[in-house]
Amino acid sequence: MTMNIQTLNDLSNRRTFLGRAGLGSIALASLLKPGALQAAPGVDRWTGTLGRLHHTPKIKRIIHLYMAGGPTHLETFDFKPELRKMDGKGMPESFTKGQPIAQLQNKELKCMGPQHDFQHFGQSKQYISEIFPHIGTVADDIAIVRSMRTDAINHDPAHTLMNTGTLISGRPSIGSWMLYGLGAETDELPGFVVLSSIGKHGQSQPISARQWHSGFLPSRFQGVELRSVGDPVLYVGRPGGVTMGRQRDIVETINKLNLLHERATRDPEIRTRIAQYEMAFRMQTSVPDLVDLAGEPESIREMYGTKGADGSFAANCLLARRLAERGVRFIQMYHRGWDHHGSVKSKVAGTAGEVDQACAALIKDLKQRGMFEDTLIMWGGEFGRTPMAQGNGRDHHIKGFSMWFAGGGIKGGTSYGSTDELGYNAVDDIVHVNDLQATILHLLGIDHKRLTFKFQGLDMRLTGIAGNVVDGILA
Amino acid sequence: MSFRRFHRAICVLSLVGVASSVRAVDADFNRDVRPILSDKCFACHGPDAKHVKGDLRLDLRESAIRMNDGHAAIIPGDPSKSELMVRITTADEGEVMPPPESHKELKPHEVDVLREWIKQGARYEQHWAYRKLAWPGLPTVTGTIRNPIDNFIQSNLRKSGAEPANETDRITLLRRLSFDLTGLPPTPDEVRAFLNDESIDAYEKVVDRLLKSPHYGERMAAYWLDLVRYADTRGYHGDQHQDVTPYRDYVIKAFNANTPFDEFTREQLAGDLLPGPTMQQKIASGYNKLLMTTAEGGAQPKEYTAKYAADRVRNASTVWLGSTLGCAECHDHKYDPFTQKDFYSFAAFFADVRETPVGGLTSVIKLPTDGETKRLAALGKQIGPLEKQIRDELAAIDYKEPRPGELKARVAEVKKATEENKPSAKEIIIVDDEKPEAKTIRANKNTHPFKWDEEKKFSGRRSWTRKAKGVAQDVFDYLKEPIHVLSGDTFFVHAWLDEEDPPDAIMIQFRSSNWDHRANWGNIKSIGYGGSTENSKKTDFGELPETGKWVKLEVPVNDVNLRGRELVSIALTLANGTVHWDKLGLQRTATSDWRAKKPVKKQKKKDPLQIESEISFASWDKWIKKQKYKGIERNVRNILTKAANKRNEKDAKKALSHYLENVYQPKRKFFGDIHKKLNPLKKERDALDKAILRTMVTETLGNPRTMRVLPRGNWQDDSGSEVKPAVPASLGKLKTGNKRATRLDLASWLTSRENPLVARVFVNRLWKIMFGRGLATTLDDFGMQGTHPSHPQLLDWLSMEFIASGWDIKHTLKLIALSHTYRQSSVADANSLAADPYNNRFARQGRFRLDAEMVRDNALQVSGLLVDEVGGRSVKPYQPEGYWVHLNFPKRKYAHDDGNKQYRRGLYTYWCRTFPHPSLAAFDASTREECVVERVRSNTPQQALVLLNDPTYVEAARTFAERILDEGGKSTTDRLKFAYERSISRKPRRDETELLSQLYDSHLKQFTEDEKAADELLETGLRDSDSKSSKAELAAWTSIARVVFNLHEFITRN
Repeated sequence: MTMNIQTLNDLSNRRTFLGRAGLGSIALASLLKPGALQAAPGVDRWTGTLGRLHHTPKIKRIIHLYMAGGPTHLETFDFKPELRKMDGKGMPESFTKGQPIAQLQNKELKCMGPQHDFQHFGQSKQYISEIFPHIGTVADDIAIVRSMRTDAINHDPAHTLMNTGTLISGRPSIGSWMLYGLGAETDELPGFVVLSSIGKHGQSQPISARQWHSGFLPSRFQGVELRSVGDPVLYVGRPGGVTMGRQRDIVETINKLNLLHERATRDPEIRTRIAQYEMAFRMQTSVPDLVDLAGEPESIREMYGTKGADGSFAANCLLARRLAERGVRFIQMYHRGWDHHGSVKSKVAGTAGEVDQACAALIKDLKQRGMFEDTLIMWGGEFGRTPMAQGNGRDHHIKGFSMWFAGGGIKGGTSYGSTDELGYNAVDDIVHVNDLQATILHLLGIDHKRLTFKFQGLDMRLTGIAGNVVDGILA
Repeated sequence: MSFRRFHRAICVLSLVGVASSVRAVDADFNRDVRPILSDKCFACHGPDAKHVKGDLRLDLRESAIRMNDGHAAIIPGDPSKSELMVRITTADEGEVMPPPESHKELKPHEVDVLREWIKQGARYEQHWAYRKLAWPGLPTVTGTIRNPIDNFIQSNLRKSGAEPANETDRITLLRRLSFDLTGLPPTPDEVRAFLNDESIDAYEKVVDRLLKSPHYGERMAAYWLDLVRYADTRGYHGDQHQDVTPYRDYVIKAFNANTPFDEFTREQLAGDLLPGPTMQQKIASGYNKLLMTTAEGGAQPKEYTAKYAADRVRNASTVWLGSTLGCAECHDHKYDPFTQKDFYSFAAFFADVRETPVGGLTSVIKLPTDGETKRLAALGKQIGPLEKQIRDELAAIDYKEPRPGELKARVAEVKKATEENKPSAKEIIIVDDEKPEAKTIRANKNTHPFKWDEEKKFSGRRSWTRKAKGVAQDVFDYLKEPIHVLSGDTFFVHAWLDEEDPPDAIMIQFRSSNWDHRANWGNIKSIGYGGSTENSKKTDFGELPETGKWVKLEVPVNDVNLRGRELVSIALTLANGTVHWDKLGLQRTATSDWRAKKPVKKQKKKDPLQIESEISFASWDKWIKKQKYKGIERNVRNILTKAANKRNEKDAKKALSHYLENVYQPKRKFFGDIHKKLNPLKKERDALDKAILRTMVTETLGNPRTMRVLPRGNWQDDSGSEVKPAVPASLGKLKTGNKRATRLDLASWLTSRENPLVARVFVNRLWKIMFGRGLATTLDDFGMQGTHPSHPQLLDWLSMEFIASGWDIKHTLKLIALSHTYRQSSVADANSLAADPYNNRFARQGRFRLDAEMVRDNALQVSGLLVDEVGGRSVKPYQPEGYWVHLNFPKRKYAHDDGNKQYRRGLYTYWCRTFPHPSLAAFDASTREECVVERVRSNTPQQALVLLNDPTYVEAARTFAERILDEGGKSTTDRLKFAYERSISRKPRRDETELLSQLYDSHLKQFTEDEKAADELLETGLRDSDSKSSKAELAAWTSIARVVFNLHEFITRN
């Protein structure tokens, strides 16, 4: 059925929304048996609006390595020898006339050659920048798309488009759509988790919580931040003087009283409330366990290049694997450090160094655990950077940039699409952000045109009115 | 409600007369047919004329029935021959409609509806929401009828053989009404008063009381602010702060004053255009500035101008018209009769709003209080003359660049003077011929002035003399340059003790953090301090020195415990007698230990350019450049960074004036003296000015921006035709003649009798406030894709009543509140739940979770923490550390407020768009980025975590615990009763009491054994406790209060 706010609120009132009937007895059991709160999972798991998937899925989960700030494609995955020849010369006007431009508005436009050399990596001879020696070691596992396009030239709207498929605020992000459509596979953790790290080389542009907001979908589908400062999940820490046992006493009493009230009023919403308290209580044990990396073998920590949960990108990659193991559906990791308006040569190398090893480690680790095949790993930012110099840096650029993908359903060792000889326009096999979103949903077994929510009279969807699945990167 | 007005409404009704009873039709066009056509067909066969397929429009009857080669989509009365029926029922995949790729399958009963409709003649009707409003007939029905609302609801119920629910109990009713009208729970006194009031209008009195409460305006504002997306930050990118709280307070005041909705509309859309606008009207016009804006470097003004225009169309059309006009930005509307031109013409109304597309905010006005205005004026009066003195003096200086020779001489002179004045390399002189710079220099009791003596001297020109009867001293207090004392240093002073009048004792005292560093010569008991002759804090340096000659007294710092400290003051004291003092200082030896304290900075040699700067502007110009303009204020720096010959005359003069006033040595003292008076005044003025309340308002541009239709919404495409302000053509036309229509014309049209939408849209939202769902459930879409109202005639009746009452919001709310429909129980029996699970028929009241702000307010109110001031600046409640870490430009640290500001209602919370307060966000508070007409109501583990662990709720719980102990009687049972009555307005049942008593006993025992845990729990939050109860008891009751604050019932309005 087509969902809208009212029907969703209504359904939630009716419990059919929850799909399961067993709550009452399980909840009761947990109430009668002290300490049984942890033992009642599965009762309020939202199993998705779709019921049956549209086709066989390739993946169960997504790890999005979000390189926020706009990584230069020209020093990372898209080598342009012609641009090197043109270094210092004027950018031909045929490329730039009438095109949107950010900080280079009204400035002289000169070419700047690639600042780093590239190498062939792996058997597939993928052409990747030397600043990614570790990613090079997994070159045969990744599909590089060199023909990405987006519509927004400033960070904030560009992130909004990447995450929600539109430039208008207030729409659900991709992780929220996933949870709405598919539900999660965990009762102990949120199904959509966001982590972030701050790079040391370049401005750390702000990121809005809009990027993981559920928009017009209920907030249960919102991304939950896993933080490295304070409580790892907001409000998961107990008040001073309240032991786990005391907290359990409280939660059990609340649930018992709520159950009594349910009998008196037949308010179906109460069952849901009880289940949410059980989950909240479980989160208070599962989250500390999740973020405790001490149990990871030294060799694994070394592989990622982290000592512990220190908020670094490497630590977040390791946490991402742990989240994936625990059934989290969508894990998004922002690394805020790719906005290189100046000194692109040294800074992009610096930022690359912050992520290179951990990205490769994540792929290898998922492989050795047999999870690579049902996980999609995607790497990229909200846009690319200009072939034109901005001093010794590069400005924002939306007409062509690169991303890469790895994991289930992805054809490893491929390159797809290309930009013109100067790296300005994506010219072959152009992949718009909406196409990317259609492809992600496709991998999950969803037809992007059929995952909809009625809002303001429209069947809203992640891809708006656009989106074509990019078959060329699919295995 | 005014009684008279109500009667007038009834009269009009009886004139209209005929009671139309709705026939049970299977295929009512508006209710049953159009929704199907719209959802399944209009995307290709609807109002978007440019993209219509097969030249067939199903939104227009003439197109639908037009014969073409003997075929027509619809042949009225003959479904089997109608092509439409053929195509929607065929099994042929190539033929079937809607096409499979649209994923818009028709359900069997929808096919039946269309068949029935064609059979009955395929009659089209105007869309219900666009029909001109008129009084509908009042259905007659017997039952519990309290006012016409019940007629409509109950006649509808009767048709399906259902009965309205009984009136709910008084406690529930009061609690419901209190939340609906004020957003706060009733107090136990209010509950008691209502229960005991046996008068016939007891309930109406409560309604009136609540509508008069100042909290009514707050409650209504909380809803309105979601519509207009009010926030304290700008939204895009850096999401910087913006000042607009007075707008929020305007909304509260307007609701409280029951400003008629038409006036409320005009003031917000066009307050600035009203004749001689009042300050409140100007503030109200801030509505046009509430949209998200950017200051991101590299953002393109033209792009953002287009974004803002579209944003304003989306917002105003949703707020007032309940229409999705925003969908016509790139093409004509797919479902509703709005063209792309309508979209841009609507946007043109706002093309006169002054704004900076990318960068700082514009039209921010100051709203000083009377006190601030007075103080500013007073400061101005002091500052003015001083500034004039400066200007006059500057004008009088005939500055000429010194010749090179003069400069050279100056450098040489200063260098020489520096050499001569240099103390012996290891001596730091404190007093010799000159008093040191110090905060105060005094003798005791001010009776003995400091007295130089040029006759008797050890070094330099003079010494100073101190004569004492009793104890006397010279104090050099708070030296301007405190001395970092190093281990191995020795203080010294030269003393001549008068032979005729020798003292009993002399003492040198040093102050670092205190004065307890004393060196005494002579009788150690002679000099007391602090009213005693305590000797333990004096160091005995033995006998008095020889009289009648200069003697050097030395005090090794290690002997008076001064090493490594900072010397700030020094005092020379004597008991009786006369002493001449000279050359007081500190001897530093090569072996003084630098590690004892960080080394004193070595003085750099002065750059000759710097010395020249004292008398030469040209040299200073160079010197400043060499110093990279460090410390130079921006407007002067901007001049100095230009080459001297590139500066215009005005700038050059400004730079020179700055130099003369602040640097030029010959005038240093003159200006320095003025600055000493002027600077603190300016500082105060600037601080005061910064603290003045500000708000964004709308200012109109004489020349509005050109507005064009943007092809496909592309802001870079200027090829579209220019448009002037106009309302959507399908809804009407403004009669402004040749005059360009304004926002004021728009506002007046919205609330004119010609407008069919605005009253319907607004009363539907009032209904939603009172029942949790609208009569039309798509509160934001009254177009074809919106849902048909469950009670269209009631909606029209309420709309007419609203207009007839003079757009009176309180009147309308009161009507609803007084109806039986409102007073019904919300408990559904199994049958009624099965028959009408979503409560479309309103045979019962709604039950739903409180809105985010109310969840907070409720806990604060019940605990007694709530500070119920109305209005003011936004406040910052506790927020988890690091939540704002993703903000930048500038980076921000969240510092929660202290005192009263910590306990304000949720609506006053600082609303950061990119990171709204997480405690409110967990309960579905909107981000205020776009218009939100209806918040989703989710039920999540995050909500549980907030209520369990957010310090706001824990602090409220411990405060409530104190209250329970202080006011709730003596026994646990009594106290539980108190807690329940106070929090959920009812008594606990026995099983509830038992459960809570068990928890209480168990936690009391635990907290008695673990006192530290009790302490920790009770320390949550800022509020100091003065409770006399035992910690363990308080902590155990805090547990009970936490349970209560987490109950489903506590956060539910039913």
